[in-house]
Amino acid sequence: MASRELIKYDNSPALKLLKLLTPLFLTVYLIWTLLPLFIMVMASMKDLLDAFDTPKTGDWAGVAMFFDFTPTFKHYYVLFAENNFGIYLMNSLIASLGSAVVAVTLGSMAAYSLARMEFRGKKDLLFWIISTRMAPMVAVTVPLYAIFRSLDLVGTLPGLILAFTTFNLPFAIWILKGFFENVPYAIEEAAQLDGCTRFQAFLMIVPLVAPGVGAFLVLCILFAWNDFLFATIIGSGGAKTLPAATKELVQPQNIDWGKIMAAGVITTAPMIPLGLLVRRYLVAGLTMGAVRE
Amino acid sequence: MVDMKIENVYKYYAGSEDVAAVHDLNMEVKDGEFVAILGPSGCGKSSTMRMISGLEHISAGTISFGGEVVNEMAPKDRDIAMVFENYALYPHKSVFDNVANPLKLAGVSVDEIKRRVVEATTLLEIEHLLDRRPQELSGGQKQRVAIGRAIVRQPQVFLFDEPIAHLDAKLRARMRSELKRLQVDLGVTSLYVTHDQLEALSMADRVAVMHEGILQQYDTPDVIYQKPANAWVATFVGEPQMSLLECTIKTKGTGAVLDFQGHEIKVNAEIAKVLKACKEQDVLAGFRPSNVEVTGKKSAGAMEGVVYSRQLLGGEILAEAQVNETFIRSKVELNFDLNLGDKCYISLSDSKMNIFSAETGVAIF
Repeated sequence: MASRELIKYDNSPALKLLKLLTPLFLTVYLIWTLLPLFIMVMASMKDLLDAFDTPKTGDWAGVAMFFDFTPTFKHYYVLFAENNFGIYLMNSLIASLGSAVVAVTLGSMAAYSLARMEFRGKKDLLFWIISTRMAPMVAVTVPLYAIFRSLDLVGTLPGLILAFTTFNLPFAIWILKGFFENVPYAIEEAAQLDGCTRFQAFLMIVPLVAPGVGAFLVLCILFAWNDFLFATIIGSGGAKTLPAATKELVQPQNIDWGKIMAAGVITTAPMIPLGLLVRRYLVAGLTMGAVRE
Repeated sequence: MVDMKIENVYKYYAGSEDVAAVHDLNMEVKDGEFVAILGPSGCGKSSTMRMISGLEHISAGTISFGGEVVNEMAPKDRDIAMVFENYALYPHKSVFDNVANPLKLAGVSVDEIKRRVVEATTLLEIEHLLDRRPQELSGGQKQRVAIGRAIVRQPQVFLFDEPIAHLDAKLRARMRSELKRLQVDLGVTSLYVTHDQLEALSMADRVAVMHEGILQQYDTPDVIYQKPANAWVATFVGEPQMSLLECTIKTKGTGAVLDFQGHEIKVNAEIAKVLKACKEQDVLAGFRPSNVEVTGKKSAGAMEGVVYSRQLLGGEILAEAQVNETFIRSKVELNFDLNLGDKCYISLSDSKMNIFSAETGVAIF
């Protein structure tokens, strides 16, 4: 078997410089990425007065001031007690999960048929499916709103789930089709000879695409959870989600930064354990190609 | 344990309806018989097998098992088991679960499943691998698991789709004898698809040779080797390949001889009679390498040629001689001392030959 190492013969000074700069760059990048999150978490636990207590420019020693405060959870408390954030959290959860499940269920069935069957117009159908993802969502919000309004779906959770599915489903079909194509059809043939019906043979290969499907499910949840456009336009009113609710904390008379920071933490927090949970499957699932006998 | 009848079967694939993948196939397989379907890629052998298994629709004609037409039956209802070329094992199941799968689907009790799986895997000498996954097995082991999955069901018919094609040469040789033994012990009607003529000749009770969708000859391996029905079968079966010489029939006295580029090839009385009665003048004379002699010494009736190649086959040498554009192969002893480019003399047997029509290829003798 050939070695899997990256065989390099280049020892030029340029490469040596790159080797030195890379850790430096990565450190800077890491700080750049994590600092806003860090500030958000810290600020959410600070009293407003403490939050705005910043050192003068040039006063590097004064950085210690950022850490000198008494932590308080009053912002969180107020959000849940007065601002109905409990409801908005539930809405986000239901809408994201619901849309992910619908997209993956319908998507896997469509993906399977597209992977296995040949029929006239298949190429056109495939292009049409992926082209819906090419258009910017903003362009379709007005007509979509009109349709949803006439169906009385605006401001309802089912309506919001449907809206999220419009962008999750094509994506699901496209990605899952690749997963099914990686499973040799001979396995389903063997299953049929063993005694399965065509449908039972399909069920037998589901465990083989499961890691990929699972990883994709997480992606769908993430997209729906983070969505702002459909959440404000279609979900406003009865189905307000966290991103939309957070926006409303910016009032004309007063911007309550403490509450906004807390809302940000509430929005980000659930996604982190989810990501950690499926981290193992995410890379394997998305780079599937290992389903060979 | 059942006999199989294939009657007037055609197979057309969508998109190429003008060319039949299988054209008017008629054959019957006796109960308990081991039949090989032999042919090169694209000859229709896999299509035939897939129609028998139910994985492809039958375009025309009928296939019946024990008198019952199975055209409309799903694969799972035909009570057949198939061993695939690439094994088609379930990657996410252990060896035990792979072999047990058909029994599980049939609703057999857990104890009975265990008993039958252990019995089948012990027979195939893989009982120590029951907990492994397919990825952890070698090619030969995977193939045995696939066979185990087939035999554990005790079906009416076994179908083998080039099962040993991907094993190394030594293992293939071993599996040929093991599969033959297995089939004889189990006594199940078996159909074996292969492109390797050695496998077909060594294992089958009868061989069906196919070419471009059409059955060329269906007979015992013996007859197919000794008396091929046409020139194509003659050159396809038999390793090293038979040499075909373009000759014309010439009467000589009361008998006849074959004229090959001016050289006279003598034939015995039996063949002479057939040649004289033959209406065609141009024929192909086929000689198997074991019936050809190549030496450095001139002898009566020998043809002159040039040594084109020599290959050591182990206990003998395959020498190829060139006479103008024709190549003639011969098996010679290890003391063959001629080299490439040397002049040589070729003697042909006067009785052990096959004669084919030059125009149609059909066998005359």
